[in-house]
Amino acid sequence: MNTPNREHYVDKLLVDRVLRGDTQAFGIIIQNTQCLVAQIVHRMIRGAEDRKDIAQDVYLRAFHKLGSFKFEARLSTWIGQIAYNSCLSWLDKKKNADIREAVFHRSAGAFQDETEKQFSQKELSSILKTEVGNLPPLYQLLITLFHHEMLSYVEMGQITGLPEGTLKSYLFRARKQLKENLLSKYKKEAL
Amino acid sequence: MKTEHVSDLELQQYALDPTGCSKEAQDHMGSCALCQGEAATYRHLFNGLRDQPAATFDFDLAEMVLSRLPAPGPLPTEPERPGISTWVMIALVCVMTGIPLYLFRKNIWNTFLGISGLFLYIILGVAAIMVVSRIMAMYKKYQRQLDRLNFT
Repeated sequence: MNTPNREHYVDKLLVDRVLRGDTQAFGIIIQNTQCLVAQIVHRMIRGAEDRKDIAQDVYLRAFHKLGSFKFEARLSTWIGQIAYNSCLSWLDKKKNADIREAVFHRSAGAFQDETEKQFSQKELSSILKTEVGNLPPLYQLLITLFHHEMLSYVEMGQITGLPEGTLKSYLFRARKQLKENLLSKYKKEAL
Repeated sequence: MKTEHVSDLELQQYALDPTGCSKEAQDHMGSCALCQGEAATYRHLFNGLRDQPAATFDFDLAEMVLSRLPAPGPLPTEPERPGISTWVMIALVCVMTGIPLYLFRKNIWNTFLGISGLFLYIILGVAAIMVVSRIMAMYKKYQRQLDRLNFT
């Protein structure tokens, strides 16, 4: 069973091995944590090539900073925090310009005249994916971390550095916006 | 019983966990078909979000990263405790500041007693301005960080 104590033990074991020079153990850390990193990077960064660069950068940073990891959070949360900060730095460099454009293009023309249709589960999943993708990156990220990754507010706070009250407020607004966007395009019964 | 419809915040909470709602909201939800429908929409949405396929990288991340790591060898770790030289430095600073403070304690006390009211207000005023400006700078920085992620 994947209890927190067992996770902590596995984290400690792997970190100790890496610190002693076993780089293969770092490969296991990557395998264990890349799911969360992929969620964060995909929600915040649009370009496939940029995601590739950032993902590598996240783990190279994690490798070099591993000696300073104090086990105050789960290793995956700590690496998630590095991923979040790396994405923020990247957004800073890009000045948001191309992302605004990308968001505009993705929103325009998506799913029109579909209000009368009854959707299958697969179509619904695709609609939801598109509509989540049309939300601001922070909303996308918070919704994914909470509803998909099932992280607690504490863990989400450790990753994003946002206080719990702010996280709850942003999550509430994100869900509301998502629901309104869906209902403005599709009939409630169709969903 | 609560007669007006429950707020969107309570609807979301009800869809996530009905026991987390107030007693009034729960009572209302039990008898209002409209609010039940709204909560059901949220529940449906949350289930859809939970069942979304996870984002994955379409390349072998582990292999790419491992090929860029330095040759195997122990990594430097941060010292867990400050070294002896740090404690010596701290003791030295304490002695260097403590001795003059002890020797001139009366003069120091008189210096503060001798300050006029106006001068005291000026000092406090400047300190308050500095604190407020620091808080404003922190708030602006925080807002900038959020703005970066909230473009639409």
